[in-house]
Amino acid sequence: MQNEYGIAPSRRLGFMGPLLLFVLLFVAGCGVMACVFLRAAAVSTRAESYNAAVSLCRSEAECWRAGQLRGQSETEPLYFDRELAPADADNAAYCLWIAQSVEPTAAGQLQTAVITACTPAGEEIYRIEAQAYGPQGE
Amino acid sequence: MEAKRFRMGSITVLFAVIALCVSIFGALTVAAAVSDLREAQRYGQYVSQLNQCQNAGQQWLAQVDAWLKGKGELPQGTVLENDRISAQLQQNDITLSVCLQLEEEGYSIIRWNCTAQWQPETGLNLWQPETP
Repeated sequence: MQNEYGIAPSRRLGFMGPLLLFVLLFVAGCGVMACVFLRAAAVSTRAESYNAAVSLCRSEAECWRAGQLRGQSETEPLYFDRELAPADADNAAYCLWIAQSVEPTAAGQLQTAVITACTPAGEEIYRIEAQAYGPQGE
Repeated sequence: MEAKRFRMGSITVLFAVIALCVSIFGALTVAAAVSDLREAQRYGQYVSQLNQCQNAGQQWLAQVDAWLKGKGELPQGTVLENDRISAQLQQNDITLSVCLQLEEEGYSIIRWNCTAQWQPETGLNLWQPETP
């Protein structure tokens, strides 16, 4: 069966098959590339938060050794924003928990602080243990 | 009319080149992100080792203080020279060099220095110049 131009309808739409296949492949490729970029973004975010957590723990461990955080509550964490500046709980990107213990030694006491950096949701990122010796009477 | 005909082959080649470029860019992005994560983990490992070294120094200080007060023995590896007590404490690749100056009442810390030891990368097959 032919139309007025003498072309069969099945042949007129013959290009649709390869075109649909091409579009399908293109959409699938776009999907794969989107997954790749999303995966890269997730890994990059994880690296950034890990790096920040390590820096925070290192910094707070030094502060603790210097005696600045000895009275820090174990039930209330310290909050920091993405710029690693102190922040309130609502704007926090990281929170730091400090668990302290004291072990008596022969001539003084060895204080230990376990400093844990977490996300506000409570997921642990990095942990460090710092010790400081204090002679008797200090 | 023949010259203006829509050519599917050209579009296919164009899209193939675009897809190739985006694929390479995606692979580079993932490689950079993974490299960042590895670097962060190495930094975390270094800080952990550094902290262990500092903790070992604090424990050494506790033992020396006890020895000075007659309540214990001098830790192993400690050097007592004139009025100075020193030691080299090694934890993994980091060495803490500590020295105390004995005074009439107690002591003062005159050196507390952590240094990391360089570990050469031997896994790479580098070109070695021939010795004449």
